[in-house]
Amino acid sequence: MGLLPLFLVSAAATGIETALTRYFALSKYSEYGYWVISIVMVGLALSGVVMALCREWALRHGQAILRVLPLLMLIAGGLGYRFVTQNPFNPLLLQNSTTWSSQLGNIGLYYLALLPFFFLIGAFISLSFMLNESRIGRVYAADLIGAGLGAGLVLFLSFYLSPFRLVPALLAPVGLAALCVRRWPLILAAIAAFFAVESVLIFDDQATISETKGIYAPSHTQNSRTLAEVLSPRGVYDLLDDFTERADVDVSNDAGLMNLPGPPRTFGLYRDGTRIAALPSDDARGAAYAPALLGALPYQLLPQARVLLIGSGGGFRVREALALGAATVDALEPDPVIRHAVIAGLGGSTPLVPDPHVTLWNAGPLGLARLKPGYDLIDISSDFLDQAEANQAAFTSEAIAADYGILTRGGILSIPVSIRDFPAYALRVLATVEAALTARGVADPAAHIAVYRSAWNVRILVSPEPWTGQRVKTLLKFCDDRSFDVVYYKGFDVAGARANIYNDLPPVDFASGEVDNSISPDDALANEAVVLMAGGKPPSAADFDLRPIKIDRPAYYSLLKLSQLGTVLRRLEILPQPEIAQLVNVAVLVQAALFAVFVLCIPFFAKKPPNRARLKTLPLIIGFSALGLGFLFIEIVFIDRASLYLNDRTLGFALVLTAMLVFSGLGSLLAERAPPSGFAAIAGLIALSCVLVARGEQPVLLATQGWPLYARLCLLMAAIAPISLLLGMPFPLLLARGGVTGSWFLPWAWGLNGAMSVVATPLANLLALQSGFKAVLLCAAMLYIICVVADPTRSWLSERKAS
Amino acid sequence: MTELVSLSRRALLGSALAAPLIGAAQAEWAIPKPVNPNWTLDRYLKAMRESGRQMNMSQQAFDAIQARKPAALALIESYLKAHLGHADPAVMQAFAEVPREYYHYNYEWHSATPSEAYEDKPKPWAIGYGSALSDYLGQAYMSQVCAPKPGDITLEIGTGSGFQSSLLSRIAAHSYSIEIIEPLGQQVAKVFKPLGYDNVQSRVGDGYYGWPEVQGGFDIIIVTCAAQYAPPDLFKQLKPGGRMLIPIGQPFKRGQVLYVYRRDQNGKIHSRRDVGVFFIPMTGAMMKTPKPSVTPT
Repeated sequence: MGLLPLFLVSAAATGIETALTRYFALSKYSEYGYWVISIVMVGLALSGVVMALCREWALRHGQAILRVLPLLMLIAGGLGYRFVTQNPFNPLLLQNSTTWSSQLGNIGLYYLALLPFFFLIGAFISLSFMLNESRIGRVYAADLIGAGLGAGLVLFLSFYLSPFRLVPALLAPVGLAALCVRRWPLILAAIAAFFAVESVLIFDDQATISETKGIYAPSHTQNSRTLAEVLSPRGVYDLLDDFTERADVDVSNDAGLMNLPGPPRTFGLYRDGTRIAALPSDDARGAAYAPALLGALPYQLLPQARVLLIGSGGGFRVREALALGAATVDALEPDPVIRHAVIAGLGGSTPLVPDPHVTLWNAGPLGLARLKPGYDLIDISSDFLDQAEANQAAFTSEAIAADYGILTRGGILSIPVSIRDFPAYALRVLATVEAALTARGVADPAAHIAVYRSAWNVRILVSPEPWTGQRVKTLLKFCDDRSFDVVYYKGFDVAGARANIYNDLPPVDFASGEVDNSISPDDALANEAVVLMAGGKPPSAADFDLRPIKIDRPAYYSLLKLSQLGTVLRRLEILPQPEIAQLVNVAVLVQAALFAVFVLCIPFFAKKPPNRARLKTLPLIIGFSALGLGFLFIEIVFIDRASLYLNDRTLGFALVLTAMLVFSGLGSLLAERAPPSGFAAIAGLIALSCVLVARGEQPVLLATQGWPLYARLCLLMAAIAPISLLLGMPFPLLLARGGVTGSWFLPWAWGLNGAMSVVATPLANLLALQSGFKAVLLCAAMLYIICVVADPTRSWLSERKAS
Repeated sequence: MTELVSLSRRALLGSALAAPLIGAAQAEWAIPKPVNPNWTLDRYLKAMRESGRQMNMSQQAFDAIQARKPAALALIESYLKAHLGHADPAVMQAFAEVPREYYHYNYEWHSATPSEAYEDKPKPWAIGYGSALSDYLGQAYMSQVCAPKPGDITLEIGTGSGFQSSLLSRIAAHSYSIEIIEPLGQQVAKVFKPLGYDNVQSRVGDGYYGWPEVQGGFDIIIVTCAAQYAPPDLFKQLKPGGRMLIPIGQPFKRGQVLYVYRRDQNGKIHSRRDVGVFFIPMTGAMMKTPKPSVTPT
């Protein structure tokens, strides 16, 4: 059959794995995609274990098994996906202390549905290795290149197919693999199975968007209609017209007293079922409600400002800025669908009228290098953060420092923070601002910051000029006119201001669950902000991670301290949805670690390896484990860096996955020609590369952020390709040259590598959240050095010579 | 003037906190035995039929539900005392009167689940179309924080199961309710009349502008589907001294935060973030105020 079926199966495996993460992102929430990855890896690793235990039987019947497996995969894959779409898993009930146990059962059902398919995939791949031991490099190459192209295929198909159709489409490569068997009964059975499975999945499609997602209720209102749908790898965009859609603004509760109209009705733009923007639904030019907005103060302080908007808000931020008196407006809009809607309209939405004073830029929050400095006002849109994961870069200390650098002397940077869930988010952003100003050489950051809020949102204003008495007076009047509250400026009398609080915000102790009503009204945020700005440690620091957000650790929603996991789990019900990702990682890590221990124990139950060889199991365990962990650590870092660099998570993910797999596949081909001592040299080079990337990536990333997209893509490929070539070599070298080939170690090594990959993904994510991506890269470097130091190849060879 | 405004603002907010304590001077409520003698199996089945929801149930199953009710009421009472210092007798009486099992129904699947009512570990129940019948402890908390009084006119944006409006209707003069989800709202609109709740009016539509046909406005407004801001037009319909409640968070999770809004005599809006539905109150006014004495009814 050659290696074509392996290539096709590997493509299908990676493609379907990626497609399932897209399914979960649309149907449930994307955090649960992590769980899918773990199911995949468990299936692959389990197959390696079984093959190790049944090695002789598998070798005897290997060709026959390889002929039948694709047919079984088709059936298992189709049925498995079917059961997945019917699973009533409700992620919100997982956070409810009285209903979580029933949802664990539903998660178990996901395992039952998907494990068989991925087990069969893994069996096919490990059997391919076992039956082609003389050309391990080529086998590994076919596996990796197939996997890489599978990832690319999903990216391509995402432009044309809904995520609910991706898995059915990606069963096609499995079907093609089944046609390679040259046995007519099997071919006919595979064709019949393919059509049967596809008919069920397509014509009786049970996949739906969860009723808990934001789009559900609006799409079931009277006269609701979908005006447009855009399929893309970034997500499924739906434009809805229904009466619940309004502009996403924090407007004063006293707008009526100010004789201002409320925000207008709009169209709602959703991505993967979550609302990301409002688009204008009529040809109204104005934004008469704008003076009532929380974010209106800087415009009052800086009339006729040259404004930079970070996030166009579907065009509404631009209209508001103009209505508030901006002289010129530059707007960064990295989302291609929103950008298109603002320029040309979408599904009947009203585009912005061309205006010589308005310029729209296709750039992310770090792409300021293309802009001419000297802005009076930089205003981050309140909906920008949640529009895309990559947008959290706007809230890093490096981005804030860069924004500060292009302000005029009296200019203002206006940063929004939602405090509906935890006011501590505002404290964390304050700490980040302080770090940014310190990095810019500002001696007294506190003097350059003012903070004010509504009941639900905060605005942090940063200025190169210390806040003057006149500006403070304007701030106080602005807030008083609109029932907003001042939180901080240097010299603010927190206790004295309590009598005039409009929006009572009592302190709540996260750990003990106690509310302090001893002072009412009170402003918990003001109480803590003054401590933070004075250089002290606010009470919230005991429960929340208030470290500044940095490029190296850019996750905005990582407030929880895993060192207090018990408390976090007790407070599960009040955690905001984006904070759940950390906990999902922990759950997956625990499960992965248990499974890895199980896989590690297999050699001790395997059929009679010689005693001396059994002793040499330890270096092999160390070697293959380190390789499994190290490869994934590097991959995780590259995916995140690429996402940040390209300001597009999906593009970054697909590019890195495809490139790393393809080039490492090529590397494994080259491994067949590597000299005997090559393993140590190559592992050492990989470790050195990790250290160099850790040291140098951030300055290069920031310096070239303003380059055109194609140039950044080229630079990324130039960085990924060489190291990926190297990464493809150690595994086949260790297999072929360590004497593992021809032994029962081979499938077990495959299983161990897979098991460690399961551990690596959540471990790398958690390490990055806690310590940053540089730490992950340095750990990867250490792992490859451990491979060299453990030196399983040399010790194994010497043992065989001695015997 | 500023000082007067400041003083009155403090007084207003102080009264917002003290409002739950006002009722503390009233007699403690005692669970009646039987809880609701007028509520029989025949009445239940008849009401279900009249509301367009076919249902069969044995006398034994019905009796089992009623048997659980006193314990659930006791749990509500102790929960309200722990969180708010006392259990409002009007709220307790409303819970005793309104048969919760009647509202356990999934309108998307057309299936009734009355046997789940008055569960010993309160939880939310899906009623279809992404909505939930919230757990009864959270509903009790919100009902008491509303501080409903006889004569009040209430408005709820987000009818859901109709249970909250039904509760308020047992205390207030009239309850209005708007449901935005069309298929849900059309079905739930039929549940009130069979129970004889003729002071509840519901409709399907956009709640953003409230119910402007009601002259004089509302004493209580509850908004369960807010976005970035509280709709300004609803404030226009809030009577002086009225309360607007906005729960933030998904009902399935139970960890909802309440925002309570009031208007002062100058028309300015004040809010209070209330997490008590989940957390336990600590020190402060509750501890410093002497425990009210019990007076007989």
